[in-house]
Amino acid sequence: MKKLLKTNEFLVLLIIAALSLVVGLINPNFFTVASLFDLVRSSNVYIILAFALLPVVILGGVDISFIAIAAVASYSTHMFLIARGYEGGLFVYFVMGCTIGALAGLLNGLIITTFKLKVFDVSLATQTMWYGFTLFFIGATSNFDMPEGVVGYYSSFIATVTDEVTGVTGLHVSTIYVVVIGVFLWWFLKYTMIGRGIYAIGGNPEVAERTGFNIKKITLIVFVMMGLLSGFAGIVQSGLSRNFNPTLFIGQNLSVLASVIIGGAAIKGGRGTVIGTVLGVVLTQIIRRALVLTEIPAEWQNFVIGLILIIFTAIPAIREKRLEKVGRTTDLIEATVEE
Amino acid sequence: MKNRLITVLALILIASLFVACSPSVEEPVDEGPAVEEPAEDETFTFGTVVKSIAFNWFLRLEKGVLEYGEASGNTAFMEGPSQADSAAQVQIIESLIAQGVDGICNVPYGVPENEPAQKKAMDAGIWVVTHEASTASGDSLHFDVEPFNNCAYGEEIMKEMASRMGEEGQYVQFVGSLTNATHNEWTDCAKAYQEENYPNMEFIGKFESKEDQEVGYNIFKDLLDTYPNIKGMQGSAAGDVVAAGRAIEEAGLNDQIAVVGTSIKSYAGELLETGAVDLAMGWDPAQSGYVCNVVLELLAKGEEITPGMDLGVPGYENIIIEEGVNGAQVIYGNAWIKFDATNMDDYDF
Repeated sequence: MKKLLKTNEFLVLLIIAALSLVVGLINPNFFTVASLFDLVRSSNVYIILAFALLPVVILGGVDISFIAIAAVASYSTHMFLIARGYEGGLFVYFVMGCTIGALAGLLNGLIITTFKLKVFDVSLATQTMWYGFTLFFIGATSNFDMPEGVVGYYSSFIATVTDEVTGVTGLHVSTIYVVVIGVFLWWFLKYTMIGRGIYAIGGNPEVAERTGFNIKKITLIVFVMMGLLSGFAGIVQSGLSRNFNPTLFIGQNLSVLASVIIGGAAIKGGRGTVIGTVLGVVLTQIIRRALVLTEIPAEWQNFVIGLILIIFTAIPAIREKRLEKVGRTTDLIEATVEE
Repeated sequence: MKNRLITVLALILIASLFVACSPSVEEPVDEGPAVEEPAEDETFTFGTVVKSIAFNWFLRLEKGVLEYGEASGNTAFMEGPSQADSAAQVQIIESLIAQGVDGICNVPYGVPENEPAQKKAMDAGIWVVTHEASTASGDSLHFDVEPFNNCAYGEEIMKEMASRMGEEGQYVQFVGSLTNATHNEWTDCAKAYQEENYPNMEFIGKFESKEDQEVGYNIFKDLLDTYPNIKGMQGSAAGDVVAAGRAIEEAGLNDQIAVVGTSIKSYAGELLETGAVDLAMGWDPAQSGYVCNVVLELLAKGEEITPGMDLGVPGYENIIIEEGVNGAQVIYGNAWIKFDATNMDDYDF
């Protein structure tokens, strides 16, 4: 129990609770089921993107190209299918988009492992390349033509609530994907040899290699997963927005990264959890929404978000400083206890 | 490792140069022989240059240019780089100067980057009229043509929204970004007009969609929670009314909130049909292309262009001429278009 209270996840949860309380006191509408459903809906896609990024961060890298992979995978899938008169549902989109995403991720992985380059450097190049590729070879404008089977996806709900004034709000089906992917990723990171290898390499690559982990293979798997999940997130988002956009998610990679870091993943690698990541995204989403709900003027929003991010990113760092003071042994125990 | 990095970067650089240059290969095709032999009426050759021919927007503009050509008997054509790029655009202007056209209608990608080429054309005795370049310096063009004055347009949006709200209740404004000068001019003028004319309407706030519909959608959902009595929404970026319309439609509030703002049919069509978006406004690039050539013709014939003049194009019956911030003579019309479910098929772009 004591260990639980000390975890980063618990700290983020506390902050979420405190922030919700403040927002709810100012605007009681925040405590409605409808508001919860809205929060879940706006978080879902970013949780999937954060899941894509999490293993990369644990591995010790910072990738910024996953949003461009999401864009190229979803937009090219759509343009390909729509040109052939496809009228079916999203399943074919998911299969094709995830395949394109996985291949694009593999390319990142191959460049990184073959030339032994930094993840960030490579992703800087591939991000620019994929957005450019989409604009130049596939199309430059958002496409609003939806196949029959995709129309209505944005309002396929598991459950709905109706309010006299604000109308109908639903819990979107994408929540199921988040749960399934989350459980899988949790199991993968905690109970598979490859999953343990990701933590080991992030902690200390040399030791990991001597222990017998195949760094190249694990790196490739991590990037294929990143690409696959990014492609998936791209299609979910486009389905929700009712249009496929060649510059999907542009400029949002750092906010996803911030969520992952707030969730307790170490930017130096070796640490990070699925639950923490989910909480990190939820927290950033609440901060974003709190500004409208508490009637803070729009001109202030970015400033306030930046300010809050500074404070919240500093907290894990302060905790780490304290750990260092406590000494090595505790640090080691901490590292082994944390999954 | 450093060397490898440098090699990779160098390869990327070379590749990007190759990609950047390749579009211009297809460019120096001599477009239609200039009709030089004087017929019984003198005819002119006008070339229109746009930011890029890859956008639907400019293909629509070309329609107006070609319509002008047919209606007037003059030779009118449009050219542009396949990728929005000032350098490639300048090359096209230079090839038009070499062809000896009578006038150039330029829609510059980068206004300052295009000025030297425009000056060069003027020095060669070619008439230069621009579009979307009211900030250009006065000596780099003869006239700039704009469909409307931004402030008048913002007021027009407010009038449409207010009439749908019964001139009372709370409303919100959306801009693509708080730093977008055009969007802020529309919304600020609309708000000023409301304060003067509709005392029963209440301004809630101006929100930033970041040109992203998903952002706009989430903000609007929160606005519905916070201000349950919202009656009106004014959008600025083409996706703003779509974002609000989606939130409104999914909540089943189509008839209770007036959504009016700048958009295009391909964005807002579906929601205009269901009534979640009430009215979309904007301007027709085909008309801009048409009127740009009309001005060139007047200049080439030696006629003077004066305030209040009728250019013979819808929306330009009573033009206003003002000086832009850097001295350009800017011609304004009242050429906004409005469309809803009943007439949106006329504006298919």
